[in-house]
Amino acid sequence: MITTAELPINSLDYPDIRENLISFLQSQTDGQGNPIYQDYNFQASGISTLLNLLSYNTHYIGYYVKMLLNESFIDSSVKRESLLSKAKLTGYVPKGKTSARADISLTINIDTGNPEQYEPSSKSILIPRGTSFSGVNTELDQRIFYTIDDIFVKNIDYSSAPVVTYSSDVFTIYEGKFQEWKFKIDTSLLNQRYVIQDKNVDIDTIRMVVFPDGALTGEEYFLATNVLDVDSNSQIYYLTTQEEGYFEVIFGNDVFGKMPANKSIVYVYYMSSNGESGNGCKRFRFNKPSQDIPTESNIGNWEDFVVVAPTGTISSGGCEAETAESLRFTIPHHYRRQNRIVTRDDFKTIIISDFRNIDSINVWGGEDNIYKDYGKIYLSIKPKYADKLTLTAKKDIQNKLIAKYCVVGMQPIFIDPEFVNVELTVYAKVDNKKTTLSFGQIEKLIVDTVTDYNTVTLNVFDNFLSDVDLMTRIKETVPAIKSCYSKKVVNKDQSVIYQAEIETALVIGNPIQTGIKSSAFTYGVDICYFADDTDGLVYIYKAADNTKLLAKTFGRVDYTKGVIYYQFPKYGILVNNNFITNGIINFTAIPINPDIETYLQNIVRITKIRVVLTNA
Amino acid sequence: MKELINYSDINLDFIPHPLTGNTTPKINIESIRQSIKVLFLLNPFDIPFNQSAFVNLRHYLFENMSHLTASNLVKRIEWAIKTYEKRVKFISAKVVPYDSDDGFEATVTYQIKALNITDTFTQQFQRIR
Repeated sequence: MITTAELPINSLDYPDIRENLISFLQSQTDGQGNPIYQDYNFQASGISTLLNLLSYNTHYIGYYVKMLLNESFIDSSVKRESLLSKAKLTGYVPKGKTSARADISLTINIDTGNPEQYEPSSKSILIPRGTSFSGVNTELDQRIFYTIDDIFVKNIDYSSAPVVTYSSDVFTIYEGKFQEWKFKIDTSLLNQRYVIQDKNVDIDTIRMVVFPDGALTGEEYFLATNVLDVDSNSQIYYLTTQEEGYFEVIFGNDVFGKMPANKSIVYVYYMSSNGESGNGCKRFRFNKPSQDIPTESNIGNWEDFVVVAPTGTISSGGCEAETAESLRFTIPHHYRRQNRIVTRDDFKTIIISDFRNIDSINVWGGEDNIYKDYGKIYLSIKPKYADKLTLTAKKDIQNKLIAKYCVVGMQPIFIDPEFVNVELTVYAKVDNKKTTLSFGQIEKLIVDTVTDYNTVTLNVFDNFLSDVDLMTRIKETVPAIKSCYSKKVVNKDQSVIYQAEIETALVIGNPIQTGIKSSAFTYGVDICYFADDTDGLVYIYKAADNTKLLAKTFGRVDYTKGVIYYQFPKYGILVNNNFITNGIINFTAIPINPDIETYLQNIVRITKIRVVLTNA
Repeated sequence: MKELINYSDINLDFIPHPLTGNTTPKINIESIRQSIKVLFLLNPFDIPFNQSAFVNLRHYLFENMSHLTASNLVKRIEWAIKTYEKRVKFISAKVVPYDSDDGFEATVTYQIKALNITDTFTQQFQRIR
């Protein structure tokens, strides 16, 4: 009688499977308890050869079954292709690379006194799609930017005649390489696919024009993300990702969107992006098209160009394609949100996922403001590589997302981030017996630690300055410090519009001590500043002798909430401000608490560090 | 008297027992011979995850059968038996090419340790095209 034992199946590794099979065979005995086979321990034996085959086969099948299962779930997928497939099920279009973009305007000077130059008869100059600009980043590395839409320059200035100046409105240029992809619709082909075989495509820049067979003018098709408001005549296309990770264009089926006619030629224009490396460009130059331009109004016909970038313009928004990890996070969140923005977390999720150049974002209801504003949603966004969003970026978010996803009646308002600047003084007692470092070296270590804390932890909406955390880090960096503490002075800037005569609130958002002071401004013939008295009322003081200029109060201070209400005098002009209509006022205060908290649009950052060391 | 079974291996010819229909195990000296034959035919990757373990005598059928090739063959056979067949003590190996240069005869002599007998196993290799 043959006895059998259970074959262990607890491992998928080849050596374990083989060992399990050997154990199983060892338990096989005839009626007398003698083993039927014995040679499994010898590699060259026939049974060992069979064991090798069996084990390898088991391992092989086990591996593929496990891989198959792993790739079937978002959590365990390893291959990007599997995640792309899962994204399709939830209607999510994974983000490819995104081009850095910058807002500029272009001025063209035409010397009409020169017989070779002329004004266009249409009184407008065309900057065609695909016109290039060069930008230089902080490392003096050049990047090329392009326009992706035709732009007409129509603002004309004759004040310097005979030189006529044409200037454009602000427009956006996109970093990368301007590309064109062409398809021909052929209905005789079964399952024809329209794949843009470029993994660097920025899908936000795709412009699609369909030329029906023999037609001289094309019809523009637009990206649709769902089937709402779409009928059989809608000139739309859908985007999805195919198995190799390329983007695939899908046209309508003449029910949900119009299917282009047979033999139509489809032109797809887009930017092939360099992703993050396009960020940080500041200086821009127009690259005049080299070939002769046939149309009379084309920009290539003139010579004298000036690129105007608004103050602080810097290319930003360039992002790399979503990684597998990013997809793993985004796909389920996209599904949960159900294409609607309702809660403040929805705002954060959708804005961060669709505008990935965002460093930090805070969203709150108007009822949380100092001046209550019910029924409105306030958003404050700090982009990467800049302190605030450009106007175009705000419009972009407003148009593309909020207007599309928001619940009816919800009104979002953008507030630029405001910075609570902390001037930090660190006092430390050093035990000289425990270190060979000089005071200078210790000071440098402390400054580096604080700088690192500022860069890594602060500068975002959610994180506050924790005194304990900072002091602990300092002590960990320099173990010879026996004790340390810090003193802080906070200050904050605020824009002032002259002659507005309105009360303004400057929110520090932390309890402060009496003794606030503003930056200087001229009032009449005196240099003055705002300061409080012991009753919490704000007066104007003369800088010359620190006496009250007027008996009238110009505001008050809420020390508990850290809010300074003030009214800038009608004829005051801020010192060190050359603007005619507005200026920046700065208030300084001493916080009561050791921690500096963030509040609504406030971001805490350390701007000055001073270190005072003494011997223990 | 019933033979004492020291080694028993599955019969890779899979010949059924005329009465029971089961495969009959190869035992003792037959078992060792089958192992030596398996070693002669051992190809790279036959032992999974161990690409360096091979003898692959068939591969030499298409070589020019010189003394150098024969010597190589002897070395490979010796290495394989000493490495993978611990039940025997290797004594000698001989490779004799055919005059027609289309094959060779490999002979290996070894002592089976547990049975304390010396055995010789010979296998002919001839290419058919």
